Amino acid sequence: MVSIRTISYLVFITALLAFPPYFILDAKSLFFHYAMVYAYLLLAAISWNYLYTLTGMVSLGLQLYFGVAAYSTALFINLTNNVVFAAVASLLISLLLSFVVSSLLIRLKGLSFTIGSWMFAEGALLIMLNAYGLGGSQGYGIPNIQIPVKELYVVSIFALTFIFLATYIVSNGKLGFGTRGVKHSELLAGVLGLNISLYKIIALTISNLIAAFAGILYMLYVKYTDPYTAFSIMWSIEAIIISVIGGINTLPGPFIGGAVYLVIHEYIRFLYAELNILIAGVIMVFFGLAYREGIVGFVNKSILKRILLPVKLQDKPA
Amino acid sequence: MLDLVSQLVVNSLMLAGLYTIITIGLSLIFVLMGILDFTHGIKILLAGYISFWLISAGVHPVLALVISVGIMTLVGSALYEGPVKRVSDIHFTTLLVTLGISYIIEGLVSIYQPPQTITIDKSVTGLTVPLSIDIAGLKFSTALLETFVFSVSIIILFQLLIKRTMFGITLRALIEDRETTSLMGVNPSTHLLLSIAVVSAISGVAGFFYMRSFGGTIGDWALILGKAFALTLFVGKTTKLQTLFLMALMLAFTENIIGTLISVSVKDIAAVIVIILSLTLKYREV
Repeated sequence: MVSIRTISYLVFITALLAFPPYFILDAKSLFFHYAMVYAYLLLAAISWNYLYTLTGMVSLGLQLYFGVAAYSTALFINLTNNVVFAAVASLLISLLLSFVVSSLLIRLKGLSFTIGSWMFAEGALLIMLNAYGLGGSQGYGIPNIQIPVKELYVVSIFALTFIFLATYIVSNGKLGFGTRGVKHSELLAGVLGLNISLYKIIALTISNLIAAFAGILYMLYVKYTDPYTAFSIMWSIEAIIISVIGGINTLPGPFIGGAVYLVIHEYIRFLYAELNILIAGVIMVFFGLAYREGIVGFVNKSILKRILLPVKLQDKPA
Repeated sequence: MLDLVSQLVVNSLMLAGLYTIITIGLSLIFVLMGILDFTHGIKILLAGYISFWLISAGVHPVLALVISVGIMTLVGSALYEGPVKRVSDIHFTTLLVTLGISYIIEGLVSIYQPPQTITIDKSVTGLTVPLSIDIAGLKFSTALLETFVFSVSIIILFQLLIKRTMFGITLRALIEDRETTSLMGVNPSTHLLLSIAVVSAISGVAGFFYMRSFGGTIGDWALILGKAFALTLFVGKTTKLQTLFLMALMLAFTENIIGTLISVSVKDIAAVIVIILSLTLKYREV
């Protein structure tokens, strides 16, 4: 369990990250732009990494929940003009969708699951392209609402801390151990009386809700999206890249990978936008062939471990 | 009504031929190595692009087909001998590296070719071929008919290679029991490399005829790959092409019937639904 002292430290660090920029910096500062991009990329990576660490399932379909949440947030804001209601309603829709899709997907294993998750997202992309009420291929947005970026930044920072803490507690609690048990041997887990399907559905749903939250933040910050962006497989790919750079199967991995990827992402976006896909491919091949354990794996092996890495690694990367 | 159904069946048969040759490569690699090669989709489109570039540069379409098949044989073999072989024992790393290679190729092609749909039609080839021909009251798209003839030829040749040649028999023995076959003096690496070369060549043909029949952009590799994955997983570890062809026919028929009765724009949705149903109803573990 997490002690009150650890939670207090986390809240203090979060407040330190949230409030000084809020009071000191101007709303037009690039800092807020980078922070928001970091926030939704990091959430996507946490979502993917959480599922992989606990269940060993490789999802290529988190963009389904990202996109659905982004679109439903915009739709509810346009209908009610209430941001909080729209966010909560989007999460509920994602929850419902996750239950339905997960119940079908848990029948699949290994790469069948990966492809199945991807195909659900592709299906959603194709449906949204034909959903003319939501703009079809032209996209959909919330042009009539003002959301101050500084407030959004503070909410994002606190939400990130909450999600980090919640995934840590779940990973190290009964649910986490049960799900890991299912990951290592479904037969043994079944013999021990664990409800395999339920554990998988819960893990998938938590992961999908984190992805949905990333979609909500994206819509609130960018205020406009189209199917090709919201349901792009690049969200899953970027989540994998961030996790791999930082170190898969580790809690701090996505945070470190996210920071490194943000620098690469923004540098390429400004200078060589057309090379975005190429660079993503190079990173994947490089880390897949030469550097499978990521930065956390490297630090964990070196003497820097004691200085830089207070969070214990949970598992060896695959 | 009967005319409509006959036309649907004919169109689906022709499309199923293309889907079969698109899937052969992925299916054989899956049977032989137990991996799903994510570079398969991009290799098919790369072959289509190479053919398009060559024909645009004035090369005769038949020669362009031969050259792109040759290039794809080399590319496929090099990718296998290089990165894919090194990671083929770990599922996640295989996925990471093969997806990465797909993005590298997509990125490189996107730099050279603007993101617009390309087609190998008479505006590129300069050859005056009618768009469709009428046989027994049925309309046959010339491009799809050419594709069907080549696809069926390849399917027959591939079956003969697997069933009647020493190479094919050895390959089947390797699929059955690699260890025992190796003990009998067969070099699995050489046979794997040769089969990769064969399926890469078939991917080259598939790429040419995909661009000839439909045209597309480099980003289409994902949906092509999805269809090939679904067919491969549904058929399972077998070299029987008739099962693959039947599944391809079902997919093609669904796409055509939705495209005709509802709208062409939703036929891909129907394809995705078929893929999802194929995967979830017939459970497969990879």
